[in-house]
Amino acid sequence: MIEDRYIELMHQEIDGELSEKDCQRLRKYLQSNPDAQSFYQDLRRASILLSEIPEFEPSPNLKKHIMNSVDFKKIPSQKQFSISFSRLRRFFTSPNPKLAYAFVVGIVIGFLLTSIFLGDFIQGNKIDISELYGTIGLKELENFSTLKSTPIDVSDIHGYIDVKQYRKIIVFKLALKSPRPFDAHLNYDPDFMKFTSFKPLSPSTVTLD
Amino acid sequence: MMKNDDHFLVRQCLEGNQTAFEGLVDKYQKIIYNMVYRFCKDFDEAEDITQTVFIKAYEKLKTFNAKYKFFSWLYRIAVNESLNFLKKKKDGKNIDTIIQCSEQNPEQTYLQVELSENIQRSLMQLQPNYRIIIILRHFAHCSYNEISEILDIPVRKVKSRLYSARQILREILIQRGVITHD
Repeated sequence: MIEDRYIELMHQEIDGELSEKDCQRLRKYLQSNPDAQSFYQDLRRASILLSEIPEFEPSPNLKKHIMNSVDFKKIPSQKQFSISFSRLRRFFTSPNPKLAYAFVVGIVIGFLLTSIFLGDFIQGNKIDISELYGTIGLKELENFSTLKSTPIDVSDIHGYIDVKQYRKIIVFKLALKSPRPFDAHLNYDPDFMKFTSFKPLSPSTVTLD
Repeated sequence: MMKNDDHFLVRQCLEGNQTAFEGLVDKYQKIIYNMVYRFCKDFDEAEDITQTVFIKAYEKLKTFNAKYKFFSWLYRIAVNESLNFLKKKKDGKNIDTIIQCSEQNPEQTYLQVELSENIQRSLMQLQPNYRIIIILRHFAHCSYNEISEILDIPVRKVKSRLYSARQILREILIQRGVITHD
């Protein structure tokens, strides 16, 4: 009966992995156990037989065959680049009807989609106003809300001033009457408001400065 | 030093230096050839497999991690190719025998060859995973750590498998009469 730990020491000794201390332990054990000694001798003999097997020389042509078989045109570091490049080149130079059809269909679809979605936008930016005709004006203050209505009763000038607003448009409606001509001044903060136009209800009676 | 030499040659190969690859072939073709032969026991196949090993090594050179030794990486390719060969092989082949010219007399040469053949046949009786570890240790002279790297198994598993392989081989050699007890 051979103890497993000594079998392990035998193998380590054959491999030259044993410390001097363990070597001495093993030798002592082998001296006291003939079966272990026989087993160790067999292992040692097997190892020696393996090491004595002569090496074979490959045929002289092996190296030539290897060097001829390797594709040195494909340098390993550039292989990835050449693969991509060759695929790209094949795509453009090799005729492939299926790819051609797909390409044409793609172009047509792209053109249609572009014209549908961008057509309005393009047209909207290209209105030729020189061909427009008719009268364009604000609707008669229907949508305007009155912010303030101030009655005017100054000397012989009577009427009212309404301030109306619709979104960002403010309309001052001056409805004033007087037997004599008078000046009406409208002061506003130019940083806050921008004068757009003045529309007299009776143009012959009004002069705008 | 060897690691740096091999890594230098690998870097040269990656830059397209054909001579550098030739240097690697010169250095390792015999070891790989013998390793593969011990595994498959067929000279022609061993040459084919060796050729395949170097072709694949060149193609995969970019994937080689310089953290490891080049020969470990190369031996790993050889092990995989040898195992692939074994899977494809259906029936046993006749044992190849080679008589090497020597200055010994014919009888001594015959005995030597006979012994080598017996040992080789005994090796072939081992399971592939035991056979490969015997080959790496006793023919390629790899350390436990190197074998661990090549086979991608822990060192403790390398030891247990190697020790088991040796013990089985011992039994086979005794059965064949190669090892005798007086």
